[in-house]
Amino acid sequence: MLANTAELQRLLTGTATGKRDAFRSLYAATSPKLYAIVLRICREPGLAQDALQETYLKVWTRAERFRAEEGSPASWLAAIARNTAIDAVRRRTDVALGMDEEGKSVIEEMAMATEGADVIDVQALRHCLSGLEEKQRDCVVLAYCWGSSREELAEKFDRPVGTIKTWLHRGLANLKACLGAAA
Amino acid sequence: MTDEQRALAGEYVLGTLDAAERAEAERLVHTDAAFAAEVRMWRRRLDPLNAGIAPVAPPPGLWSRIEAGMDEGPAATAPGMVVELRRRVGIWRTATIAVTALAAALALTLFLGPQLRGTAAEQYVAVLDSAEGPTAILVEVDAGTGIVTATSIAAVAPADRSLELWYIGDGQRPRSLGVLDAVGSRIEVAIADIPDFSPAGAIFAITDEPRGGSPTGDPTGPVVLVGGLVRAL
Repeated sequence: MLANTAELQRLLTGTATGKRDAFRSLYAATSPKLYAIVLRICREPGLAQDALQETYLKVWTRAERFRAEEGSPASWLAAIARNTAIDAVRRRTDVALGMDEEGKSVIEEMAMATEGADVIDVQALRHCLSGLEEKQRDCVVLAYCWGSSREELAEKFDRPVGTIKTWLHRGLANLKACLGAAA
Repeated sequence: MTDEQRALAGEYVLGTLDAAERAEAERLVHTDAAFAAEVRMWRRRLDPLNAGIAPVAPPPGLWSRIEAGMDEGPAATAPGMVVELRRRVGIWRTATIAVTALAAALALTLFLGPQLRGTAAEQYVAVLDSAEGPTAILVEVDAGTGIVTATSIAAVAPADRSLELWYIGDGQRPRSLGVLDAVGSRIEVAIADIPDFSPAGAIFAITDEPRGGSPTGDPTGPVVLVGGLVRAL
């Protein structure tokens, strides 16, 4: 499904120079993955489609700013999609909160990953997330994958926002220590 | 880097910061190399969380919507002068993307030339810029006339939304200075009307708000542009 890094790099370079056919191929190669990412955050197809449209228009105008040293083309595209989707849900107050997700399911899902990301990076993150206290891990994963805000997490875990902030900070610090050791 | 800044960088990538914290993070990404590196580290380290998600094909009509948007863009609705200015801002921005906000603001000061030079009173300028979108807003503070002026040089509010300008003094909550909806629109506020105004450490940010501005008096939408104030030459 997802083209390899060299191919994406070539399509992104073409897009940066205004080549529509390269951009169209880039869309064909990456949109199912980005739509899945955006849909998980937006939950509602209409909102997700608007966010995906906005994502690709940003890619069209900013492709020349991609720098290989900042990561792979796939992770750059995913970051734009995530940010756009999170902004879209923050603007809306009527999107139902996803209250039944768990961090664990994502960690299991990562075990199935066969494409896009470096296998060693995937295994390192899985290992380190599994080692976190459950609440810290769930907060980090729900924020990243479902775009949950601190307020939504506070509601889900029935704790004050300040506590959620502490969990997030400890979770990130512990994760960093573990990933540093694993690297 | 402090522990607080480390947490800020991590939460910035997670997407859990409030508008004022996010403005601070965006400012640091542009001005602090260690903070920018921390943000890159988190982007790379957390990216595998996207790895296992099962792809979902978007509906077939979406590509034609994107294609239509490619031709439209905000540029097509702006007058010729503004398109030219937008292009120049774009070139300036690509050229200075890696330099500090100070150097970037100085570049724009030179580019805007006579408007900012030749007076003795203290003048400050902030370029509100984002790592995303081809948008920019210029904020000028003139201690001589006592006026803060914000001009949209290439920023357009999304449909039915307003771009709201906030002054965030060092350690203060954001204070609204008004809304800027169209390219070329301008806000003028007397410094005397901004309590505890100080150019030192001041940040200006633009958030995306409901039409007419935030209903609560605090930022409610995402930060779209942010910049720190520097002394103009």
